[in-house]
Amino acid sequence: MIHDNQSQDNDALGALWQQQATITIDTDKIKRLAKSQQRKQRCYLAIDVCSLLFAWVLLFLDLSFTAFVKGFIVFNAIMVTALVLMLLKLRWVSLFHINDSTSEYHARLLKQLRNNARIAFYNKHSTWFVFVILIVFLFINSLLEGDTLSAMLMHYAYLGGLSLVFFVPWYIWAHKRQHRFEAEANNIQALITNSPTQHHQNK
Amino acid sequence: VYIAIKNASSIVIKETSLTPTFDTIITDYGPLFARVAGSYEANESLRQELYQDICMAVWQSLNAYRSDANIKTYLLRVAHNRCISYVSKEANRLKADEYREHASDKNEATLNLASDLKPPSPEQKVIETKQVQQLMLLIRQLKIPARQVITLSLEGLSYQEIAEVTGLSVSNIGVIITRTKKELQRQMQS
Repeated sequence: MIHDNQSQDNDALGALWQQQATITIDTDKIKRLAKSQQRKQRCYLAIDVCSLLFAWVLLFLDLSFTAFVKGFIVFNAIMVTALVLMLLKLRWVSLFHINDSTSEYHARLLKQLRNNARIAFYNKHSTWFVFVILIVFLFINSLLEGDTLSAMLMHYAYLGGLSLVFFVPWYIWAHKRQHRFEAEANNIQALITNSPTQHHQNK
Repeated sequence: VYIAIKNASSIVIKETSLTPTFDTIITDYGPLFARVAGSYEANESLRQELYQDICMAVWQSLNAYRSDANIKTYLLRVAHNRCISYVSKEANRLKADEYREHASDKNEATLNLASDLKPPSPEQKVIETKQVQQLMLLIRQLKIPARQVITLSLEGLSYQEIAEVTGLSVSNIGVIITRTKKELQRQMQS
């Protein structure tokens, strides 16, 4: 008797569930949008790979760089390669793991968001680090080239301008990204963990 | 070697031909995707966007579909995973769950009433609308694993199929369904 009542309740819930509003959609529009998204993803991949090639081609061109400048370019090329490989991995995950089981996907997404937050953190702090490296680089390069004080000051003025235009916005952008990914990860974590019937915390 | 290659290519062709087209999928499973979107998003326009995103994810994932897999569980995995990514981004929006839940009262006014035998009276329609709204509100308040398990169960999937979608063990699914349904029924009655 109790069992019958329970199954009736279950049927009632199922029937209510099926009564939700349906949504109509233009499948041709979806196909167009999906194809356009796919093209964009391929284009981003191509841009990533081109940026990688650019960094290495610069190195192999027979330009009259000093050994110190060449070393600096190699350092940058390695950093760019690492960054591009990471981006490719992220794109690969978002493209080819959508059909994982949902619990695997939760774990993967959470890990990815935490990694993204960590990368944004490193990215943020790399701005002042690169700034310091550039100061040291300019100083050593000026000494090696035998630059005058006015030429050296001119280089530092350029560097100051560059950091205002490039590094400060980069720092702010990376800081925002870090907080965004942390918030997303915390949100997912809060929605996944604890007992199954508890209500989520962010209401 | 030639025969082996020929056989292999014919198998590939056969497998490809077994994969349903996108239009067939939307016709057959469109309402299912809409319900999945409804279990994550209350606001009508955002729900439509999410539904569109699910359909795009389905379109993109069709290449990876292997015909020996159950198409329904495969599509449900894609749909729920797309929704999880959507939910994670919710943290960046205004903490507007309450707004969305209340806004949805109006949005869910039109329902897909299943009773074909006799058109429901206006009073019945209002009661059913309220009940569906209440059920949806309660489901959206569940933790994601429980939400996924219960909605898959309400879609009529077996424990084994739910396990295929979620990756949870069958016994764990049984526990979640029993607890959650009991809690939903208690809250619906109260």
